Amino acid sequence: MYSKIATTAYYLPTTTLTNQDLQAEIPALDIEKTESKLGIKQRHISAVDETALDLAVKAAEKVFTNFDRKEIDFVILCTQSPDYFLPTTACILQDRLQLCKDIGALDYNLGCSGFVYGLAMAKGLIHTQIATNVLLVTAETYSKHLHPMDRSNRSIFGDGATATVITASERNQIFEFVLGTDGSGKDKLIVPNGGMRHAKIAMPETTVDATGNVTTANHLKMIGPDVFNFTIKHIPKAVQQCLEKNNTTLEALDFIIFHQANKYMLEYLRKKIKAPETKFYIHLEDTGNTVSSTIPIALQDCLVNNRIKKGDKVLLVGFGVGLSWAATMVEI
Amino acid sequence: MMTTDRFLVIIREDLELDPNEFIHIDTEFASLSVYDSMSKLFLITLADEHFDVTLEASQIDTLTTIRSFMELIGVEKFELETVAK
Repeated sequence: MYSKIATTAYYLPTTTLTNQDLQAEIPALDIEKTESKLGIKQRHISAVDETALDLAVKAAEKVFTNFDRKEIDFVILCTQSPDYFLPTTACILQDRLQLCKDIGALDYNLGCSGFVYGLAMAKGLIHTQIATNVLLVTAETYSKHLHPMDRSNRSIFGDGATATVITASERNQIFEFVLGTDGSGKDKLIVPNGGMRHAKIAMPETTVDATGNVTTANHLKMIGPDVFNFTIKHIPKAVQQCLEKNNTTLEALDFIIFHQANKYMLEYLRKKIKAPETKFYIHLEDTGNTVSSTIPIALQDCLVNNRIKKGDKVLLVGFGVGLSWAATMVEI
Repeated sequence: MMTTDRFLVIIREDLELDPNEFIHIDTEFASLSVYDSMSKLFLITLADEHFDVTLEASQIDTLTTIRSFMELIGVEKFELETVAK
């Protein structure tokens, strides 16, 4: 049994945070550089009482305008902002969406590589005939992990959720995968406190880096240059491996969608893999980096804007926290 | 091997310094008109793109002068007489 992406949709919180808004809170923010280098003008931010699950419900309701929810027989939810340690957020999602009860549901904790990993799991479930119609949801509220005075990360990350239905298909439209993991880089992007290793503490020590970014061990910490190094070391190699595994070339691909981390990183990665600008997607000015949601948001936007069309072969590459990476090729 | 003059031109371009800003190999990064977290990323990119050298964020944090950056990249990649102290 083969599989394909049947339909996708996304939801972004209604509140936006523009660069001007952020500068009003943190005057040191360089608006010009945020736009020209990061490629971000605004990001959407969830309300205080709005969780990743709430965003997931809204994204899924949108996708169900194109697909009968009663046909879903497995739900996979990618998030690092679950409602609870337990129960599983995907189980609550099953109830909120009033999906059938004789279905599977699970969460998995990944960030920017999460959508491609989700495709790999959905493909596996379908090919082994465990499921026929998989709802793959990515939902993230990184804004809630950030210190209010963390200029760098608040300028990069935005909240959002996506819902994608992967269905059984007569022909193969989700091709071979390359997956990678390097847990030695766990400290490069981490929220140190709040799990079982280190509990969240009431009055954490505040640290200020050389450029004025503020964080605590209760908040997300990212060593941006080292994450950048990780991507330039592993991603061009993963792209090459993925092309070889799928017996294709960059030239033969119709389009390339990388995780939309930031414009600077994407432009450098594009140069390193020698991909033409015309088929390499860079667009995050309205959303920022929405973590596991950037690739499906890009897919949906490209379909709506006719940058990709039915039959196109598209390379999808996710990379980030873990450290973790994943690449595959899909036919739209 | 890269000449010091060429290296200074690349630094000026990549860090997007004011065209009139005078720099030499003993210029302190901290004294530049623009040197922020993004500049550190630019230096990592520069080392990778032109020298195929990977530098960690912690190494970039130790930089003082442009000369120290050249030493981190590897003096053998430059014209030695201009880099040697």
